[in-house]
Amino acid sequence: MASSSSSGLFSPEPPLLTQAMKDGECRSWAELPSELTSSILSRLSSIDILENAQKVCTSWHRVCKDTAMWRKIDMRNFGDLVLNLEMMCRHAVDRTQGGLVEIDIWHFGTDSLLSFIADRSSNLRSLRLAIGSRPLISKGIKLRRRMRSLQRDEVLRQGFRKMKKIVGFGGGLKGLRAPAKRGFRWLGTAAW
Amino acid sequence: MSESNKKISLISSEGEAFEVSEAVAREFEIVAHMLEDGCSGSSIPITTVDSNILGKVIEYCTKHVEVGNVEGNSEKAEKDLEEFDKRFIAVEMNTLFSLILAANYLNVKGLLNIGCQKVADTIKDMKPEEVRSIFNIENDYTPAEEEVVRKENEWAFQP
Repeated sequence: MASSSSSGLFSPEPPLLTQAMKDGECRSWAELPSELTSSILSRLSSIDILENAQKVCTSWHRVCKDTAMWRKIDMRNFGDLVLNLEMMCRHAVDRTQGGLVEIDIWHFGTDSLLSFIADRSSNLRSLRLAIGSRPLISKGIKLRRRMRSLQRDEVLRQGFRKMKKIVGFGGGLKGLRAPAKRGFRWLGTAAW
Repeated sequence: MSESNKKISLISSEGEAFEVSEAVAREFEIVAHMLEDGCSGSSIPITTVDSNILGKVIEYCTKHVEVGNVEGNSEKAEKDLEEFDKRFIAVEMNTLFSLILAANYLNVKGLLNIGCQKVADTIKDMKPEEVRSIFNIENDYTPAEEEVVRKENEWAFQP
């Protein structure tokens, strides 16, 4: 009885998943089911996905195009990349198809980028802007202005109407004051 | 009490029986569901997983059940478990591949999570060529498709 009920659950019988390979033979990871590939690649930063992972093979490229991968955009970096990160970020925002929930922007960003995101991300709940301290101090000051414009600008506030959290990071943002009590809940500048 | 002493045999694809406590068997969500659905048998065939991998999955679940049962001293226990996970998942690529497939099929979430994380940590910051060589993936892009992806990546040319 037991065996018949269990074989019922296991049928039709899937093929052996863990077949041992002959000496020296390797499994191709391109054969992993796409939901597992997605679970793996979604743990990478967005920069890594766009720069490296999606170029590996066509099946990984398909996974990397799926909007399920793009609820969160994570542009973390050390500020040392020779890439147009703003352009890359816009491309990532396009891939979200409006489903963006969370975004981390490090060491770049302009008012027009924030507008671009606001226009396309009515579901965004968390925005983090991070900027380094000394070597990037001038950028920090620019970003501070940007954050102020984010607090003041009515259009941006409308675009980000679901936003729950804005966090600024890093010495470059020191002195940034909490916004007026309209729109966002400001979580303050955390330590680097 | 009698519940926790109950033994269940998990049968690998080769027909080898692994006797485990019900608590360990229940870490396989697929088995837990069978038990909840009234399957009262004491031996359960896991026909898609071979002995080598089934043994490893059982080792993982046994450790996690053991640690879960110890009361108090939770911070140390958690750290030990983290260490165990780290050692456990440091395996060669074919084994990792099989472990991930088995964890997904048997629905052992913790194991699936550390398996996927291990792969992601390995891939991180690697160039596509390195990923292809380590994960035995063929570059199946046609030159035309490669050009399309290259054009998408215009940020790389305009720093």
